[in-house]
Amino acid sequence: MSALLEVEGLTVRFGPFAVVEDLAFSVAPGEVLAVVGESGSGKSMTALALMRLIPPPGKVTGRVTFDGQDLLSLPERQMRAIRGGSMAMVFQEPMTSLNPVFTVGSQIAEALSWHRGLSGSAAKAEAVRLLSLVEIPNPAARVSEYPHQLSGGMRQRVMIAMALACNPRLLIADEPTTALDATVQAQILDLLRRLRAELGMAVILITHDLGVVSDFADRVAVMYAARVVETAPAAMLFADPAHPYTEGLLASLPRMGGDIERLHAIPGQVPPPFALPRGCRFAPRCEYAKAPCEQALPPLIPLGPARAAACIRHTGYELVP
Amino acid sequence: MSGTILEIRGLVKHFRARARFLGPEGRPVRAVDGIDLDVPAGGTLGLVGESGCGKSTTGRLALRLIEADAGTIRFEGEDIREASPARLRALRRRMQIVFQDPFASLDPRMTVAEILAEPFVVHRIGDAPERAKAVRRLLDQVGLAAHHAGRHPHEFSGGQRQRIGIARALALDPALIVADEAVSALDVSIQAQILNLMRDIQRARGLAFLFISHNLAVVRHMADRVAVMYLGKVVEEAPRQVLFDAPLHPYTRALLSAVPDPGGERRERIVLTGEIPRPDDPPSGCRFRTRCPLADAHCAAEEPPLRPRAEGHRVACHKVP
Amino acid sequence: MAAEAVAGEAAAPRRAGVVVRALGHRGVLIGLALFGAVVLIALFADWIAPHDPVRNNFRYRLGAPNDIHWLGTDRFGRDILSRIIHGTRVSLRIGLMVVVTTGVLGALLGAMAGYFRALDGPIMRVMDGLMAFPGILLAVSLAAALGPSETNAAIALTVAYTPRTARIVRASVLVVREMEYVEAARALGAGHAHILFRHILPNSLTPLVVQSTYIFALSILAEAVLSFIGVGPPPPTPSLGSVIADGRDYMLEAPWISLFPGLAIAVTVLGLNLLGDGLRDVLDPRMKVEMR
Repeated sequence: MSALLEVEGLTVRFGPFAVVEDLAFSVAPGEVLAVVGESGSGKSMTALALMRLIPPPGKVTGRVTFDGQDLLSLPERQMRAIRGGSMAMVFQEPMTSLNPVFTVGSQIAEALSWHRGLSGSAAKAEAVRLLSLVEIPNPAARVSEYPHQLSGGMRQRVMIAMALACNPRLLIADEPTTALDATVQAQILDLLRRLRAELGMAVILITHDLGVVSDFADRVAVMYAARVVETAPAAMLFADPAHPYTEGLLASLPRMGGDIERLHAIPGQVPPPFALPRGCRFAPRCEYAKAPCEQALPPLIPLGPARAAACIRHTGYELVP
Repeated sequence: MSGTILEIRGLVKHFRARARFLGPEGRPVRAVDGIDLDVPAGGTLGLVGESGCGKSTTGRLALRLIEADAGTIRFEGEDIREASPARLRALRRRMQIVFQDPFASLDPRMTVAEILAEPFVVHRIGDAPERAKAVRRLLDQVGLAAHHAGRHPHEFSGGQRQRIGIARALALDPALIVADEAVSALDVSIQAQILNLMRDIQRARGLAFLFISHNLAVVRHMADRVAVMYLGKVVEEAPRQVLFDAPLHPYTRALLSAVPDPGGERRERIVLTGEIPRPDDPPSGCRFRTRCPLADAHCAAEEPPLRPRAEGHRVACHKVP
Repeated sequence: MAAEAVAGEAAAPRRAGVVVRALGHRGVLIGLALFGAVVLIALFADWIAPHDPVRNNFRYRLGAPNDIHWLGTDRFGRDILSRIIHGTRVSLRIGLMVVVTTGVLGALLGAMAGYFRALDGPIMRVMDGLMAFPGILLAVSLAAALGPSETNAAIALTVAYTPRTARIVRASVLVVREMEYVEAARALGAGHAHILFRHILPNSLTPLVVQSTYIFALSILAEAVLSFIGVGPPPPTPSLGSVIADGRDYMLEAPWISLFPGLAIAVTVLGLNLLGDGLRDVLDPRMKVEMR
């Protein structure tokens, strides 16, 4: 099967600083790719760049091929048809993403009229169907409620319903459960899992939460300081991380099983875009780092099918802590 | 560990909605509705629950930062609700708080040195050189350098600010620290640094923590005992190992099952229906019954008391044998 | 979002940025230049003024502008330029007094009202009561009751404008008092005075700085009104308002008497308003939130 989304050399710059640099990945139809990283890693900027929503003065370069079309060279008119059409997005904060002065029904109907030309009672009926698709109880009544009348979890369901309005082939979800409580997060993840299976859409999940990743994703791309440092199938990544950063991240996480007396802590902090080290960006915090790490940026080195890591220890270089 | 440093009995706090002009008076929000807690001296009581369950209010009540409506709060045997203002000020040297938001909890106009010297200024301890010495010692204890003293909070990253907040709490050598979501705003790799720091300090000084968090894995890592709150009530309380390995209350079990464990096996998940009811209109009887898979008529009629089931394990549920 | 990702963990220094941004703002620069010039003129009035502002010279009564009296003379033959230069002094003095007193009183009343729930009602109801009168009417009646003098004019204007500053300070105190660093100070055992003066006031005064420039401008205008109707500083000391008032009966024969001091007021007020608008742009709290 050919890829639904193919990204090559995607770079986002604000002035001289790259917040996303030389990104390359692909998403197959129906696949869930998680983009994981800490704050400042560039993961949210990646999502916005794919939707061509980077605010000025940001500059996007590279190549984004979606469904055979080169998104970055598309005229804005056609991009608008894709955005919210075959490619939809769900944000972290469902309160600020909904307009407080319109009912949820009219907001869904608006999307339906733009992209599918539905209006009046047809749009309303479709809105009710979408709300029931996202398991909102009593959708016929909820459709005429205002966002403030809904709880956080319900609002996130409404956002998902709006995203689904035009049967997207790719859903980009930026921290969709971060603002929600644990039990509600579990509900939303179950919903997304079910929808993805039923509708066959691919999902790019942007998150900082490795628990959510292991729960939901097929494949993972780990970002650090604007670059992807490792990509792997989810199970493999957790079982045997190939990049020292991934390794450190997993070790620094308190777990629900097993007991660790002391968490592994990665020393220092993520470098800001204007103070990046010259070589490997993780080198200053890496317990394995040696002199060659500080010389040049290591490229993503393939480690078998669907697996790659940007660390020179995979070029035969001996690195021991 | 010897005895109890903080003993809370029958604690109640209802927030009354401000009467609106010519409008109906709002129903009181029953944020904390009769809870008992014990924080062991030199140990850690973890307090978990979802947003709106009253855990943060409990933390502030425990330090009398807000006034309780009923109940007793004994700190080192003394009821702090009865303490005179002067006595309370003196008591504050022994009990401190670390906040969630490392941005909002430091005065943006003060230097780090001023922030850390403030406890000594407030309690008129030492002269300027002695305070400067104390500031250097505190910075050193939380892993910051002496040259950081002259900077303002905005020059630091989130993790470093949280270190400053911890240093301020430590300044007067307290016996108890309430940590209210102290690591929730931090990235994973930084979170591990701060958790390790808090543990090291606890060991070195024999500090007790009331560790409030929504993150079960973090609480599991830090706490000796754990209390679970739901809608202003403690529903289960047990030693850490017991609570995480053999939870009895259906809410605790659902909450634990909702936490995805990165890379761990996918456990059977108990997905709760619905969301937390509004705290100004809690259900009759057991407050969890509207979402509980086991609930029946008995649960609606009578509120289950928090009863001991085994050594140090208390549960509030009619359905638990 | 861009700001968050770019600034991210390493928040760029902000404090230094405010001064730099202020000096890069065109409004602030022009405002500072205009108002600064007025202040300099007032400060060095004795050296700059070509003539004695109060010396009568009946040979040159109502003289049109010429090479000796650049802006003409009034009905007593006094030099208008010199009277404007010295009048600026009085106007600025009153403006400064009003800004300082409304600032201090407003900060104290606003802080008390915002911080102590019990005082909020009483203080703010009195402020609302004062605000119910048009400020200028209140000032005129008070100044008339107190009698014409520079101090009384300042007192009258202070009473008229303190409700504004108190409201503004109270509004920002209400925000700042909920900040966690205030709670942290309470948890340390700090008393009310310490919390108010160490934490709440320093973080609540930014909007007052902006408001002060407007109040300065309003006071200069109001002083002119008070002088014009005769309840301002008494003659012969010139103030910008009294110079205008002097020309009131000669608008047609000698328009320069009223015209030039009116222009002087306009320039001063324009400078202050530009400065205030610019400072508001630079210090706007919403921008501050974004910068975090």
